Amino acid sequence: MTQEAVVEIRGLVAGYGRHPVLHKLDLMVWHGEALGIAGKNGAGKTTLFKVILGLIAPLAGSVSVQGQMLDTPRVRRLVRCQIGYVPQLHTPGKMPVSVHDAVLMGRWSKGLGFFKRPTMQDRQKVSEILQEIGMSHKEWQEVHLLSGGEQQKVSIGRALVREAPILLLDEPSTYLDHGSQAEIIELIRTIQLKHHLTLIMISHDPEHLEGMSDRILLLKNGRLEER
Amino acid sequence: MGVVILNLNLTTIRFALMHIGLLGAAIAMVLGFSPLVGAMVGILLASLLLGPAGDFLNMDTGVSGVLFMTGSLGLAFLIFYKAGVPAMDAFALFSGSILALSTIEIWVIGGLGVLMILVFFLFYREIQMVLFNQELAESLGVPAKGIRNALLLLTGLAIGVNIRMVGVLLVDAAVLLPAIAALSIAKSLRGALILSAFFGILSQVGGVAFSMAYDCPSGASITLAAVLMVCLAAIYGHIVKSIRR
Repeated sequence: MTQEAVVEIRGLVAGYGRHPVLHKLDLMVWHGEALGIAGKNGAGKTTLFKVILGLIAPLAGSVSVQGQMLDTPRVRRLVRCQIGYVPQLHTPGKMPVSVHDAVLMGRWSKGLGFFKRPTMQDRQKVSEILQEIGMSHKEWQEVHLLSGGEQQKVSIGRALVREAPILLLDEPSTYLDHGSQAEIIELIRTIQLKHHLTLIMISHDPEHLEGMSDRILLLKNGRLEER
Repeated sequence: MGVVILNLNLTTIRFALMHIGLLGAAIAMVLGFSPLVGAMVGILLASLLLGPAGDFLNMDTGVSGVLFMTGSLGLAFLIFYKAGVPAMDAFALFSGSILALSTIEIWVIGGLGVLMILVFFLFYREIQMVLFNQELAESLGVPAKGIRNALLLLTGLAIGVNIRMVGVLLVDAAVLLPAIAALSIAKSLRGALILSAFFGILSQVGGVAFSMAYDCPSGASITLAAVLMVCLAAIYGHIVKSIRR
């Protein structure tokens, strides 16, 4: 971990419509750090992620990612390319998507895009990542037929294939059985060290963040507190 | 478009669009236009407005669909009552006939088919992402809301066309049943789209051939052919899964 701020948030007020969820929040995330943020449901964890991802604009305060202030839609779009996002595990619909295609989705805006088809390089990158997360043997299986732990690995693979220096993980191990939880925690630690990633993880339960975080903050009443 | 309706959970929306078609027909009849034109314009406007209205009202698209459906049905009956329009004339729209299509209508349907194939061909990956997980697509930088609204518009157009072919009450047979059959055996979105189109054509052609051979209503024949296809696909899917296990 180095003392170089990757995410710098000062006096952030953010929310939906006229109802701010985050009140004058300050946060510094250092390069190579694995930061856990715990808070009850509705505390504003997902809102904080949406701000960092540039999906919602702050009502007040400043947010900078990798030294770039997220003050215009263009910058927010550009910064999104530097972030890999692992959403909360959800029950996938019935749409048939192979593991390969689900991971390939992560290349969007990193090579893939409107009128840009996947190249051999994109597909090779996907195969490399699948090897790394131990999912090569299920490359062409449909995602909705996988177990929860395997689906979470696919999600992490999709974030990794973006080759982004920052990873945001929403409840990365919460809805998994003990065996899968241990596997995901180990995988997250391994990829962080290998790819020199900065991780920000959120969970409603601080215990779920313990094995993966260098420090844990609590989100209460829209502000962050030391645990 | 049935694959889109099922994956974006637009089953309420497609019902709303049918009722908005009725409102459009009611307005057109009061103004002295063709009820079919009114229904199509109504469906087109609604499919353009449903997505943004849901975003503005902070409602799920399905919930805003319920609002549109009940509102348009209430308004349609109010118009029927106040303008003295015989409701049965508008309800005649509910029973279409594929055999009564004019040359222009066949061209319009063909053009729409080409447009849909083109859209899915050009934006396959983006559509795949939105259908897979809209929140995820947005976080990756895909303009998910815009794509969803464009899909809603295409869904509206497909429903409008199918109303003319099989009538409102049998639209599900033409749009949804082939998609249900396809999704029970397809292994990718591409496969689901191709199979859905194939099953759609097969049920339409098979249904029409049956109706001509045995002097039956074409709409009902198409529907039963599609139902049969869903049953066969479900049995096939079940057998394949059992073998894989």
